[in-house]
Amino acid sequence: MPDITEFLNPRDLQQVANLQVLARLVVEGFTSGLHRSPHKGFSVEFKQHRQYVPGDDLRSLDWKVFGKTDRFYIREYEEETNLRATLLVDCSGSMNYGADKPGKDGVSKLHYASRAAACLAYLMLQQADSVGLVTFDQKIRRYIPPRSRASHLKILLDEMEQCTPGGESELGHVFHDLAPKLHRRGLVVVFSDCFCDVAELMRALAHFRHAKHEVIVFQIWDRDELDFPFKQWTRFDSMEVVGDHHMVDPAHLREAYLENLARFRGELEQGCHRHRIDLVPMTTDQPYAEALAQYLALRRKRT
Amino acid sequence: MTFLNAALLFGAAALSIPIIIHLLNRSRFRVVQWGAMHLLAPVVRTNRKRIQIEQIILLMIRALIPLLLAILMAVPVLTHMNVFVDFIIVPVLVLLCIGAASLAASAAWRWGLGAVAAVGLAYIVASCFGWTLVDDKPISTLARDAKTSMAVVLDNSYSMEAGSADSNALHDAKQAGDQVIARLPRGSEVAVRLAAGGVVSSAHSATVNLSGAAGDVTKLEGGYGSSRMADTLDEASAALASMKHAAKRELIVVSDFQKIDWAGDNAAALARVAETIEQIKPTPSVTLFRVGQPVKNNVAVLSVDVSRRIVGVGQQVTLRGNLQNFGDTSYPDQRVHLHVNGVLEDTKEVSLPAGQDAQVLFQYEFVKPGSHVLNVSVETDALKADNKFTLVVPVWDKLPVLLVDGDPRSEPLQSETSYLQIALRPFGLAKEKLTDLIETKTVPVSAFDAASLTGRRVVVLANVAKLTAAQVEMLKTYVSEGNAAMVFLGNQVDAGWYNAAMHESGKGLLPTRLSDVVGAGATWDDASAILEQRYNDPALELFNDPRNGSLADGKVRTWYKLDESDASAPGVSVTARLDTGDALLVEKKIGRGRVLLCATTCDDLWTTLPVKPVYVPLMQRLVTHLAAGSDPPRNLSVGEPIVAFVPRSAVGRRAAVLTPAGERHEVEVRKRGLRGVVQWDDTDRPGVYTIEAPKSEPIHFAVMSERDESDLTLLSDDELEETARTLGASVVESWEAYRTLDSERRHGRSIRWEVFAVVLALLFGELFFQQWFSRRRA
Repeated sequence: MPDITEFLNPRDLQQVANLQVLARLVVEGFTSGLHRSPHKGFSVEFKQHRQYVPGDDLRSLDWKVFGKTDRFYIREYEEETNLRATLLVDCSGSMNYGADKPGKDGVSKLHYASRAAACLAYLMLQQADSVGLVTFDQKIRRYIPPRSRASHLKILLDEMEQCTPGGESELGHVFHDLAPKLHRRGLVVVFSDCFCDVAELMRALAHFRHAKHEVIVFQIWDRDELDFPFKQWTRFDSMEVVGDHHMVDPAHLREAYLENLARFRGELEQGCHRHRIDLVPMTTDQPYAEALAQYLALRRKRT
Repeated sequence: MTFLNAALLFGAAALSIPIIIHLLNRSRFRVVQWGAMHLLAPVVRTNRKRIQIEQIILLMIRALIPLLLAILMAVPVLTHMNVFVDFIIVPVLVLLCIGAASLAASAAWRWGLGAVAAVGLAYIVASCFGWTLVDDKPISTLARDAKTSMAVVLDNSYSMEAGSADSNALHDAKQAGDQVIARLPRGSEVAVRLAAGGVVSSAHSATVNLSGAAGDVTKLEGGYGSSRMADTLDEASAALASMKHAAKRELIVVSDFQKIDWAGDNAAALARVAETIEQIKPTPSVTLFRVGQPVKNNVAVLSVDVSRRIVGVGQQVTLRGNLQNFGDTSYPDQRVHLHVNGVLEDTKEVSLPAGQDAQVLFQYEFVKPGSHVLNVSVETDALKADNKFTLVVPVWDKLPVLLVDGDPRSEPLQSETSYLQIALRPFGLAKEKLTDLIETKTVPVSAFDAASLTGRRVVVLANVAKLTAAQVEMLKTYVSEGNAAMVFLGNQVDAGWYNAAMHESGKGLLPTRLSDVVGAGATWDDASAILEQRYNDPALELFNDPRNGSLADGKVRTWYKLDESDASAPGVSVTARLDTGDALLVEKKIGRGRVLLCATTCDDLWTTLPVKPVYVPLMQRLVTHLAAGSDPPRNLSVGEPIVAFVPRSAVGRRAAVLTPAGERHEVEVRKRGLRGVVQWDDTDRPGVYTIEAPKSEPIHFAVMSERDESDLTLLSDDELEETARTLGASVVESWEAYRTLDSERRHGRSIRWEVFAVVLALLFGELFFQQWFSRRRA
């Protein structure tokens, strides 16, 4: 079982700890600004009435209904926590980029994403929010439902630690499958490079939004994917589809590639904006805690 | 297209360098595991073809740069229009089309331009196999003042002077040369070669001083011999090859194109010249510039022969002049004059039918010794140069000979030297009025002393048994001073003494050792005779002509076998042999003098030669030949150096040479052996040269040219065309025609700077395309 100190280095952890007060405000703000405030209290959110069965807590009997109808009904409420966050971590093959890169002690995008996710999970569990985790490639690999126990962190870290990249990115498909499983309104945080069809992705994210989830997409980039700095003749082997490769002189393609990249990012940004989704690009060469803090600070300012 | 420096074309192999770099680059690729394939793949898909085309274009440009650099260093010269269009213009257009097609926005344009490029490529391939749409006419140069290297061969032979002084072919040739040279563009080089010798001083080595050269050509004077056309053309093409303006080289031959110079043997020589000219790259354009008008009638004095080899004072000499009428007009009473030392001495009339030759004989008696100049001339006709033949005859006073008789008798014809005496002085002894040149004096061995030798040019030892040591010593000194001795053997000869005292193992006077007597007791029936052969020795040359008698007439019964082991020593030569193979006459040069050894007797004891008529000319020839020694010839051909012997005391002083042109040159008298020598090499001009050396009488030399050009027949138009074809030349007959021709063929342009510009353009183009290709939108 990995400990949080093994998973995140102490410096990052300290930075995250320092963020805590700030983050509390911020996380509260996740919902308060947009939906009903969680300050209405502990178990304030009414869910349904059901008939009393023996053994039920009498405290939860709805006396008013009994007065009207002469029957015993139990008032059922939402769970006690005020925030249910689900972290969606993309484990497809493309997320492994950067692992075998020389010089930068091999930070793959997945590595970076899981660190950032762990950071966020730690933060939220510290403030007693429940955090769930979904790992996926072209299908859902593992679904860990949200819990607010402190020990839940270990389960999450363990899962992320074990996760190896592979398979294709099929975000749209996966998200459509996932949406019905997230019963209650909450926070959906996606860690992915979003390397899939933009329209499909947007439809899937809209699905979340439709279920009244708050969605944040942390888009993980490697610096190479943004700058395309290759000079000599290169064979690009696909990380997701075996046998798919292109032999090119990259210098001749750079302009066109950057063009295509900008268009892709533009479409993504537009789509997210339309659906009021926060799209946060992160590159693996910036410290994740810092990137996270920046985003949270920005978010707080906005609310 | 030709290249001046074709070897450097191998540098074109450098075009493989960019290709190799390209292939190396492709083979040294790196592999990247790539995630964002959905971003890259469409880019690759839509750009693959474009990138391939771009890379081909870049590669072509990069390969073209070293290729063109190699061509640039090889100095290309463009000669023909079709080459220019097929291999320069069309490829450039094709390149442009391919480039434009790769940049074109719409597919229609791309396909259209691609199709045009494909057609262009097909055309280039077709033109490699000789199919072309363009005339292969020579390219006219863009600049009319392109600098030229020109060699002018001017025929200044004597035949060019046929006609009056103002309208002969030489006059026209000078004018043509002047015009051709003077109108050359500034900075051009010109060299002038004269076919019959002589030098245009300002243009002999190539010069850029055009006006000077033209002026000097106008000032040319005639009076030269016949032309050596093939040699001169060779010289001119060599001069042309070394001149600096390679793009346009021109060889102009200004001549009357006489048949004798251009046909027959000369035609073969000219074919060789044509090969030499073809080897000059780029090949010079050759122009045959015909000048002058045909002149039909010409009578020439071909030669004059003198009957004697050495002429003495008071001797009657027969001069035989050979005349020929080359024209088709008959001269029934052609007058022929003989001038001696400028004074008219005799005139004869001779009939000269058209196309025939004739001989005229003059008798003349020289009254004074010394060097005499004889002219045989005919009345003037159109060509004066060959109307006169000049001959220089050195006249000797007397030729005194001493005969040492080893067996003197008082009875007539019994003495050893009786026959010899008669043979040497036939007229004197016959009490004839005619004068003998040779004067003999006979002494017995005992009277052979210094006094008897004084003034004698030749001494003859006839059957002398032996001499005293003092006499041998005296004889040695005598010979080494430049005189001659003849030794006849016989029954009294002491062979042992001869070998010891006279041969001295090769150091003495005798050319060879004496061996045994052959045929001592033989009968006349077994006798041998002189081997009839072609005699190379000047003394015996006369007998190569059977009309002068045969040496084989006389029999030789007995003779000393001469040991020929020394015959190969320097200065020793066998001049006649018996038909048994034994040497009969052996000559040895000792210093300036000579010794001639005869293996048999000079009387009729061992041989019947003395009673045969041939004995007289034989002995006369031998003696005069010995006496004449090695005096250099006085009658020379054009180009042969003049050599005169003068007393040794004049060495180091200066002698004057008077040339036929009236110039006076000074030369130093140099020492050669025991005498002084005056030498003068510049005898291009025929006529009388006179050497005035200190301490001697003036010496005359007659330099005559060959008379072959006296036949004034010119090449017919067809023959001239044929010659022009051999030389790859064009024929013009006037200055205007030359100008037209010249402007037509001013072609062959060095495209060095153009290629350089293309290379520069390609270098910039490479940069531009590289930037453009990597920047442009997908």
